[in-house]
Amino acid sequence: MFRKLMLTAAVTMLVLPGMASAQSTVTATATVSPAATVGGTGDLAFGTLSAGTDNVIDATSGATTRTLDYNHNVTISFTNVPAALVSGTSTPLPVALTCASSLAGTWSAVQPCSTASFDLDVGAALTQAILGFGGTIAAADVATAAAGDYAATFDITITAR
Amino acid sequence: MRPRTMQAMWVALAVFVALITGPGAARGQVLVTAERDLDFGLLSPGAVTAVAATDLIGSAQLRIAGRGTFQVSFQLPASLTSPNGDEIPLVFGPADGMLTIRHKASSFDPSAVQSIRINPAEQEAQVNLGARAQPGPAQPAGSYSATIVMMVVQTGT
Repeated sequence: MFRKLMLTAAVTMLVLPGMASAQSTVTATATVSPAATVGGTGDLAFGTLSAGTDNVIDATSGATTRTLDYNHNVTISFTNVPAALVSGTSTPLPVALTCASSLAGTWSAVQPCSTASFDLDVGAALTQAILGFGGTIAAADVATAAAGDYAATFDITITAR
Repeated sequence: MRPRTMQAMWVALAVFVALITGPGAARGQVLVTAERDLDFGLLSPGAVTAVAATDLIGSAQLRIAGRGTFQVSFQLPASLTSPNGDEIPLVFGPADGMLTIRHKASSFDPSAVQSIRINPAEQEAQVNLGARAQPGPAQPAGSYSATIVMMVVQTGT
């Protein structure tokens, strides 16, 4: 009887060889790059200058702005900020440019653009900030300036942090 | 039949069984090895990026070692996730799987169960996976990841 059982077991092993299974994992990875987009148009226009009172534009007035959309924390600064506006060969007209930033409707303190630095933190997704520009042209400088159109440019620098 | 003859027959049968069941156990083995992750690299917000199964650098690569017929299936993630919980949708298309057995490659849909056969002379199969990542225009910057599981079940020898 024992031998019959052994034989049955042996035959069963032959007919039903062991089936196997296995699994393994791999990881899918991606890195989303920092991105920032500056939008908006329009110059900071002082218009016709007064020689009697200083010519001031508040950077938080919204008169001249740029929008900034970003998906990571950034620092905003400004480079090549002019100390004067120029008009051909005329003597440059001194200007003190000022900058500010606004997040969710709240403006930062106004800073001289040449030294301004705004740390802007990203929200849960794409975040939009507003950069505002202003400045002062002193009446005394206007009084001694030659008539003409004066202009200058400067750059907005966005640094990921 | 004499007792000695009977004993000899039983010994012969035992040897026969031992010889047969040895290779039988070998047939029942399958080994799955992950060789490479699915790497989308650097994505830009709003830019859909695809990694093809044929991509020698970006595609995921796994190896199945064994002989016989197998069912191969995957647990595919619907998205990549950042540590902050942000997600990038993932799409696995009908040609995002590639099976290579001895230099013969064929594409397959990784979302469906595959039946494959590895002949004794071949001994192994290579599986590659691609996919499409769809970051949104407002996708937060950072690292994203997900886990893909490949399951292999032997269905025959």
